[in-house]
Amino acid sequence: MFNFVKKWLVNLKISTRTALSFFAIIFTALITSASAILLLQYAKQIDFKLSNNFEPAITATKDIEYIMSETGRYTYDWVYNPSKDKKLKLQKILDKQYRKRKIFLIELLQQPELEQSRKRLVKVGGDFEKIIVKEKNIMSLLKTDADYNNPLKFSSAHKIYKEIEIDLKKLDTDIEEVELMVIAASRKLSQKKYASYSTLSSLLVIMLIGLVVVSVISLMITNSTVIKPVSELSEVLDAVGRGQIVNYQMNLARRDEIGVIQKSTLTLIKGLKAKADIANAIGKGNYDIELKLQGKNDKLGKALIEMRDNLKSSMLKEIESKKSLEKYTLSLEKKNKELDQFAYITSHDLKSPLRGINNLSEWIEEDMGELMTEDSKGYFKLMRGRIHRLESLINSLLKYSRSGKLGGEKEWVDSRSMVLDLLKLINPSIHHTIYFDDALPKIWAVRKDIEDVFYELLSNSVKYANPKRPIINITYQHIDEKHKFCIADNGLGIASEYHNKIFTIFQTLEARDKFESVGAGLAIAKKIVDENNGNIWVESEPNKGARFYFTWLDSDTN
Amino acid sequence: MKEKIIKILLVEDDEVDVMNVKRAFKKNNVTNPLFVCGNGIEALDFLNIEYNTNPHDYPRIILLDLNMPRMGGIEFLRELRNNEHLKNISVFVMTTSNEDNDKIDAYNLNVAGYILKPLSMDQFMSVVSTLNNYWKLCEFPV
Repeated sequence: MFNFVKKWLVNLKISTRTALSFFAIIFTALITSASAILLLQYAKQIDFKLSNNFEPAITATKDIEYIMSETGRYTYDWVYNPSKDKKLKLQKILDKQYRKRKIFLIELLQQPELEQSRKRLVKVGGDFEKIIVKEKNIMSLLKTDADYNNPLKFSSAHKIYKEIEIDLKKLDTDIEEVELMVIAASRKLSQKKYASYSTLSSLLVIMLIGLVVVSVISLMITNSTVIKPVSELSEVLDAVGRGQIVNYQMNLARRDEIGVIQKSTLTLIKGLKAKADIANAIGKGNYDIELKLQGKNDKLGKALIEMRDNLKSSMLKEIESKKSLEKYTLSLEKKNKELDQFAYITSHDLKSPLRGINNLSEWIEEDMGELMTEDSKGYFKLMRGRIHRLESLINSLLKYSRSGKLGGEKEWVDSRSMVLDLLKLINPSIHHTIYFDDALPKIWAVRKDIEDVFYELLSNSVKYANPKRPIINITYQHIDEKHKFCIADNGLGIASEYHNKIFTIFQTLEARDKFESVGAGLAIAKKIVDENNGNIWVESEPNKGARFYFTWLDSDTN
Repeated sequence: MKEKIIKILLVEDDEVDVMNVKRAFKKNNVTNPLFVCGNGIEALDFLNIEYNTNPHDYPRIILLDLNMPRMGGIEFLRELRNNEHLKNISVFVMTTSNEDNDKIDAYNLNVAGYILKPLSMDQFMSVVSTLNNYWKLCEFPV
């Protein structure tokens, strides 16, 4: 019921509702005032009646009662104590005064409430008429002094008077009854008057209560239909102002001004929400999302569209450049592989003719025997030396081209025991002093790869350490999720301009004839470390030894 | 029976290497008859003919190079092991290839040995000498 009323109310405009509540108050006041006036009027009428009819009727009844008893007294005087004045008076009463009074009284008793009294009065009047006849009889009997002396006449007059006396007594009671009836009727009417007064006072109380109730209800309605939604709206708008997109829902569909504001707010929030969703989608990379502009002046929408388009074009560009980069990387990888393959095949194919040359030279030397001069023998020796160097170059090239490329399963490799094994294999002289860190870790790697790296670095250090008192020091650190190894020697050291060059294949710092070295070991180590996303470098100065460092990732993340 | 001399087949495309083997045989006084084929196909043809003409006296030992034209050593080995009559021949690989893959493939095909050709003549002499001693020790079915 309340909801139905509320629903009906919120479909009205606020002005209508204000007018309605105003009219309700006025109407209540008006109705109560009108009823009060009517009641007052009613009471006034009763008052009027009482003062104009009832009270005079009572007086008049008393008068008539008096007049009637007067006639009794005057008749007595007429009979027993006659005087001219009194006779005249009686005649006057009977002829004029009584009738006048009676007509006056009957007129007063014309009111419907007094009908009973009037009927009674008429009856009493009738009875009195008989008494009047009797009194007039007495008057006609005793007209002159002579008549008084006439005992017959006197006695009959006396007799009539006695009758009159009895009649009057009876009549007196009757007329008193009439009077009482009138008084009773008048009381009844007075009671009505007082009843109407009390009704009036309770009506005023009701009016007051009604006014209060109507005001309270209208206030409540205003509160629930205007103030509450308005404060709700302002909260929502504040939240929106703070950048929060709230879920706003209307409790009621309403057609008043508040409803209009609610609708506008809803549109605003919906619009903002839609835009926020679109912005989110764009942020997440959905650049194909459709966006409808909400009019010519939808600046936010236009900005979003521009943002989306810019992002899309830059994304496309990025994809394109990524693709070309991938393509380039792929072709580079392919070229690298081809190069490795080329190096492998070439070096492999070079070996057999080389061996052929070697064999043939040996056979010639063998077959010629003593026929050869010492010079020729020397040349042959030199030639074979060169052949051997070519073979080791080819072997190094082969090893280099294959190193780090074999793939294979990664495993946990104990670098400490591996270094010990490698040192046995390299077999340094008994003069070499080799220190190594006991904390050399287990590392996650392809065993062959890490072995090659250590082998090349260790043999390099063994080879180049100070020949008088060779010292090699192997240390280890753990830095930034990486293993960092250092292999240091106390050899001649390397000038800084060669620090990069020594990692290039076939680069040696000494003449090959002086120091037989191919110059591939460091290049192989670098290749493997690079393939495993590590770094390799040297720190050295001439005559201060060399410290070769390399890093290896700590986990299997690579 | 004991005095029976086993035929040896050399499958090798390089002329100098063939000469090398021959020289080494001669120097080491290896008297076994040596036959030479230039590639796998030739060798298979040769072996089939040999087996058909004399099923009791065909080459029981093969010295095999891997890198050869037309049919390489590994391919030849595969064909050989699939041949009902010839699959029991002992094969020694003699090659310049130090590839792990080649070694694995060869041993999977049941070679008797994988020997890297040394560069110097002296070393090769000792290789052939060792092989000769080995063959002399071994008994072969009739």
